[in-house]
Amino acid sequence: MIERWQKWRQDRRLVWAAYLLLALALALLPFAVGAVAGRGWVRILDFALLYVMLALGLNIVVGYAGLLDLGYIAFYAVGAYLYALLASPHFDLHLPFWLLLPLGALVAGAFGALLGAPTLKLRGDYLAIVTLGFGEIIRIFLTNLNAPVNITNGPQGVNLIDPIAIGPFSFSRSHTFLGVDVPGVHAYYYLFLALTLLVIFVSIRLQDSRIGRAWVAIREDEVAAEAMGINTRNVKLLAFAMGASFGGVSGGLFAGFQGFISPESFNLFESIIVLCMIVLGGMGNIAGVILGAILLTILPEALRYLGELQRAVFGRVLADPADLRMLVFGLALVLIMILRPAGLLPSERRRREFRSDASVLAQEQASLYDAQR
Amino acid sequence: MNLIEARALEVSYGEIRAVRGVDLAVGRGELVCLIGANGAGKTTTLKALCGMLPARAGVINYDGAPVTGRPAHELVRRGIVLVPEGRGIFARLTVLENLQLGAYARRDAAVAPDLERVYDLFPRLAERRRQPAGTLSGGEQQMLAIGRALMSRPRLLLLDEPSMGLAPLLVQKIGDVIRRISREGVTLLLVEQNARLALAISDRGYVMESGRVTLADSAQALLSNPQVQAAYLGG
Repeated sequence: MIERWQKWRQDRRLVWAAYLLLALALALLPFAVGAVAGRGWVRILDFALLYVMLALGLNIVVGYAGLLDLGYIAFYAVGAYLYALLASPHFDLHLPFWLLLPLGALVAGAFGALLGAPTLKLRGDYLAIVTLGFGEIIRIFLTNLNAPVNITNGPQGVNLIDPIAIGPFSFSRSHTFLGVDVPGVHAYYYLFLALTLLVIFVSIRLQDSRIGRAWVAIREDEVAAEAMGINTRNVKLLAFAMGASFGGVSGGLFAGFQGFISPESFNLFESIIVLCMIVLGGMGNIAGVILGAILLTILPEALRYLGELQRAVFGRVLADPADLRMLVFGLALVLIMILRPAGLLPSERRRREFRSDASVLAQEQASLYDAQR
Repeated sequence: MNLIEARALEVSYGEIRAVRGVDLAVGRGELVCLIGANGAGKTTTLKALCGMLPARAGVINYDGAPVTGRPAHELVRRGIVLVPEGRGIFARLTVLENLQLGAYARRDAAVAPDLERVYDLFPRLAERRRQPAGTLSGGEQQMLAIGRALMSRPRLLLLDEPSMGLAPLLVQKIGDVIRRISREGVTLLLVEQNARLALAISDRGYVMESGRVTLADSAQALLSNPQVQAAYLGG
């Protein structure tokens, strides 16, 4: 079975055919989903892509470099607010999207370094507490920076944000291509998909790069990494900045897509959920993180149908679906972690970590014997 | 000429002065050991020499130029490499990945001949190259730590307690390896609690006591020194 799979992979033509099929499926997905489940679900699909970008960003910090960050949503907020303030009637600024997107990545990256600098000596639980505080500080700033000078418009948030547009092409309106009607949510889907693919590409390249190896070394043993000649300070700051910039891009897209943002969208729960996505999917493994992000975006939405399910099974609604929804969601998380402790698609290294110590002991015995021989 | 020398070196952890004015030098191609009891300041001296701890006072010269206060990652690039106490290998990475990280500081990409050299020195590592380093035995892990350090082509190798926690047979093996590395032209400074092993393979030795160097002589002379015999060689 495995041999056949390997042989199959060696055939370049088949690989290309598979990619082509995947591309076609991704291209048709919004139409299929729209036809079966309605436009609302295409919107959820869009959000899933935003979360994939967020999760891949956090994966750089937590998965690659091993720095536990509980305030990651702050960078999403920075990106979103940057876009909202520079492209809305709030300051009557309407900067173009192609400028705001890289700017968002840059500013969020700077905030990432800002968080990284004072936490360089911290690890594990201690780092988690400080990053958690950082996330809350950003949120509270956004809530309170409406006086004496109104910068963020406080808890009311920023409204009427410009939809994302490239030149005259606005993503919020319906367009017709080759006789096919493409609604706004579909157009956003393609934009987000393109950027998600870019983020995936960057993630893969980073993983195999010199910096990627330095991150792994720091995650495994910081002192040994230093002894290898790795500039641990700079490499850690870079992890924070790179991860944050992904969050910034995603945040900007969120603001333009949603048209309205307020500090409430960036609370601690959001940070936790993004962290859950990567832990549950498989920390450090790109495919796992993507799967985790999609699953955790879709699952809570799918659970909204619990009421209808009850009516179909029992003939009436026994428990309020709103109450049941988060309960089942939590239960699902617990179950996944019990059944797959290293995540749904763990990276090879995580799998090693979770392997039992028995094999280690056996090897030790064997090699001691060898040494004496 | 000396490859590295420290003059009046002082290192402290907060208020605690661990190293109180140490003078030592290692000549090019020499194999020198630093022996002493637990807490004498041996490891601290070593960490200061490779830039992992800041010197509170004194100077360190390497290759004829002062390097006091230079960061560790820069000194690795200039050829000073530490094999940390307790090995400090990357347990979840494979043997090969560990060795590749050893060459991290090098600008050139030609690591294949160095890999061959390490595998030649430690055939066990070649057999286990695809295995996670954490599954190696203690002796193999020490070999991996030394092999990883060699991957950066060091000019000065600092070894911190390479014999710690190893079976007597393996201790002897590690001793042979150190001597072999020395013969290949690498300058070595070895910190050991196992004074017998250290003095048996070294050219010269320093004895440290509570942060100071109390004796400095050829290894032969130290071995026959009654004071050293009483304190470190078990009579």
